[in-house]
Amino acid sequence: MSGVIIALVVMGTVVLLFVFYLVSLYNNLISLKNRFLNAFAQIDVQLKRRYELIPNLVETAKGYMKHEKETLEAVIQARNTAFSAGQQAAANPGDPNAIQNLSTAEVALAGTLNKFIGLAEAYPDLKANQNMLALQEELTSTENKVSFARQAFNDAVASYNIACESFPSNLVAGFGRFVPAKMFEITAPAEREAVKVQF
Amino acid sequence: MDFFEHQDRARRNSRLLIVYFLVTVILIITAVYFALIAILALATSNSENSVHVLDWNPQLLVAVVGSVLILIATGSIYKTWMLGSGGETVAVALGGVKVPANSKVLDERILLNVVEEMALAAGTPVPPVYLLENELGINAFAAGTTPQNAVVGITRGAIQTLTRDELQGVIAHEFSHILNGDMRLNLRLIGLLHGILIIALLGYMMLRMLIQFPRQSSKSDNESKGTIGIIAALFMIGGALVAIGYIGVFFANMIKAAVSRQREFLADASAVQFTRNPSGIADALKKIGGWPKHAKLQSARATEASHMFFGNGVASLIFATHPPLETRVKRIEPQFDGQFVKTNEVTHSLSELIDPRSLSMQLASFNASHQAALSGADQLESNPQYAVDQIGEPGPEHIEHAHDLIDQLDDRIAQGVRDPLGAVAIVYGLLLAPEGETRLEQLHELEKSCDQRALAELQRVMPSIDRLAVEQRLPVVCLVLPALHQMSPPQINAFRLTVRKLIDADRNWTLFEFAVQRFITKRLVQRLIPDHDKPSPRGNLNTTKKSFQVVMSSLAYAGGKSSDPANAFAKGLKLHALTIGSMELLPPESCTFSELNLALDGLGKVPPKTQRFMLEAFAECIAADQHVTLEETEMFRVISDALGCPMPPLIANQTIAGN
Repeated sequence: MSGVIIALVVMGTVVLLFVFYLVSLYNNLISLKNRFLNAFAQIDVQLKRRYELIPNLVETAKGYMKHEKETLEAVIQARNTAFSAGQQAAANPGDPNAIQNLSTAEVALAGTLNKFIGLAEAYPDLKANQNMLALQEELTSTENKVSFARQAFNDAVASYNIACESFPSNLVAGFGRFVPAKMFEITAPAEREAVKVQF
Repeated sequence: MDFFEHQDRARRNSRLLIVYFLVTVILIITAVYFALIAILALATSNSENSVHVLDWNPQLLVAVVGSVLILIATGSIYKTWMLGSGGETVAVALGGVKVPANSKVLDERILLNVVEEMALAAGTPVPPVYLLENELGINAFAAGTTPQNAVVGITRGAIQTLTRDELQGVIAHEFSHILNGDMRLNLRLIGLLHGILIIALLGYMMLRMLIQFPRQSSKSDNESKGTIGIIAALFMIGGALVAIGYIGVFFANMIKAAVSRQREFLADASAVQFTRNPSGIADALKKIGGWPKHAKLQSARATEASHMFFGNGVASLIFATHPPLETRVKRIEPQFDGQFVKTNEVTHSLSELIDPRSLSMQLASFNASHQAALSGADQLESNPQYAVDQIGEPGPEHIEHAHDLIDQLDDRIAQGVRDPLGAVAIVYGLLLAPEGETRLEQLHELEKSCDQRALAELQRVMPSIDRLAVEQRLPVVCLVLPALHQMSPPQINAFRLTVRKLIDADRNWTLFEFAVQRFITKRLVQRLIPDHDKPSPRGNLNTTKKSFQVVMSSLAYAGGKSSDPANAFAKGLKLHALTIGSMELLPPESCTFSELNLALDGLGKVPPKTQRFMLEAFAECIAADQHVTLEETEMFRVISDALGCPMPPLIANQTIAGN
């Protein structure tokens, strides 16, 4: 009789260990997911700061760049599009479409901003304006911060996606409805220029 | 009672807990044994070799002891292992979302500021803050195994209803749990409870399987009556396990509640002591009473973690992990009439971003806090024990001091410390040597290996870093932690390597460099390699002595060129000569970075009382040359923190701090 009991207990322990294993796989997915959601919150703070800075920049430039009205409007336009795309992405950073839209909007914004800053170079008075200098410096710094935070977000998404797709956690992922997330990538030449440094 | 006694008591409580727990386990084993015998007797009552209830059956007993122990151990160890990786796991399991360190949302910013001040005042790096977004009750918790991996969590309901002062009271209460060693106790409680719960879970699973099993087999022929007999027996066993398991859980919960209630009173009292503002915490408690949702938690996981919270998160009388609100308020405000006024949500105003009490100090401002720090160093010089007395017991003057230090930071630094990239750049900047050849070499190194974005940011903040006062440098390092935490593992790795290169640039390490290095490996890399994967050196008397010798010698050499290392070493030893015995100053070659690192790890494991006299000896050694610099006082704080005994900033206001 005690043999049966021992066998049962051993079986029970094995089953229990297996359940623990599944639970820990599930918990791991949850924590990876939380990590990339948190990482997006970090980007979001900096993106917002950047969206705040742009209108100020345009406002300062307005007085000097009277003949570039179109460019200025395009910058504001692109900024507004990116702003609303950013809000949608922040509401659900796990939604691949929202992240894709934000990427597109950010590329467009970076393009117009780049053009605007290139044009501004032609106005010596504007270039020497203290306010403009300070704003531009902060904009560059904020862009660097966005890009750094984005790298962290992409790393987090990558490890989450790997967990979603590799065996055995993909079984748990399918069961718990974990969907792979999209990386936030911006591959515009403009962005690389923004981080040029000289020591 | 001082810090060391609290620590000691927490450890004793942990041990007591294990005794209670063992008693519960023995009772469970006995109960399971008799239940099985009874079921066997019943099942075999009409066959020839029937078992009698009172028959002694050693075989069965061994089987029961073995299996129950295996079960409980698996459950307990599994849970403890899960929680061992630090507070982050617990916070996430409870549904917490990390508040970005650079958040600009007003109520989050106020909360982060309060936490930052409290951490600096206590002398620990700033813990990451988690928000339980879906919890509308007023509650908060601290989790982790050591002050190093602690996190603080708070509910949405709490930040919606509490003013700055009340938040400060609540956060001070949580810091008391961190400082008094309650968190480890709490995690251990969760682990042990889970072990007992496993018995009930197993019984439950057996019942479930048995209910489904006969349905399938009954379609075929039910030939043997014996199978049905066995199934009936198993059914009873399952039922018995559920009953015994839940009775075990019941008692375990009572133990948990009893231990927890004591710690809550202590934490309330400490919160008053830290902030010297009884109305802060008392009003927060009253608000819980007047809030329709009280301190209730919705998360399913809340039950097992209920004892870690600020208020009673799970409604229950016998299992109340916290004393009644009214009693708690009355201990702080004896004249309280027990009437809770209805709580309304508050709208936070910008003025709450800063501590109103430190506004009075605004005029005196930087000079005053610098003077206070200077005289703190003098104080250490004339009375080395003074520093040790303050460990784990920050007062309002420390909060004000911390507040002033943060407030006086340059805008670029103040914003940088809260952003990952900014934080990285600032740490690099702090590690750069003063203008000269070494700095050029370091910059050259950075240009070769470091991230261009960090370099650009460094260029921007460098002038501000060069302007930092000595006593601001360490607080800045403490402030960057939550931001650094936001980096991804590859980023952390790259950062760690660069830091190492910067430090190695001049062959000579300073204590500050050592502090930064240790801080990064202990608090950041910990995230990459959880606690339980690392080998932990168990200290015996000999290794402890050796570690002590290494730290002492390093301190003696750190005194500077003018001082006499041998003299400093001897002075430090003299204080506790009898306990320590004779010991020699080690040659400088034996006091390397890695040796000191290992030594500090070893000393973190010694009992609190021993830590106390060791710290006293270190203080004596620093003060030996009759010249204590601000750097030395700061470094002493770093070492004490490494031992798990966080020390508030040394400022000269002992009249208040003493009592």
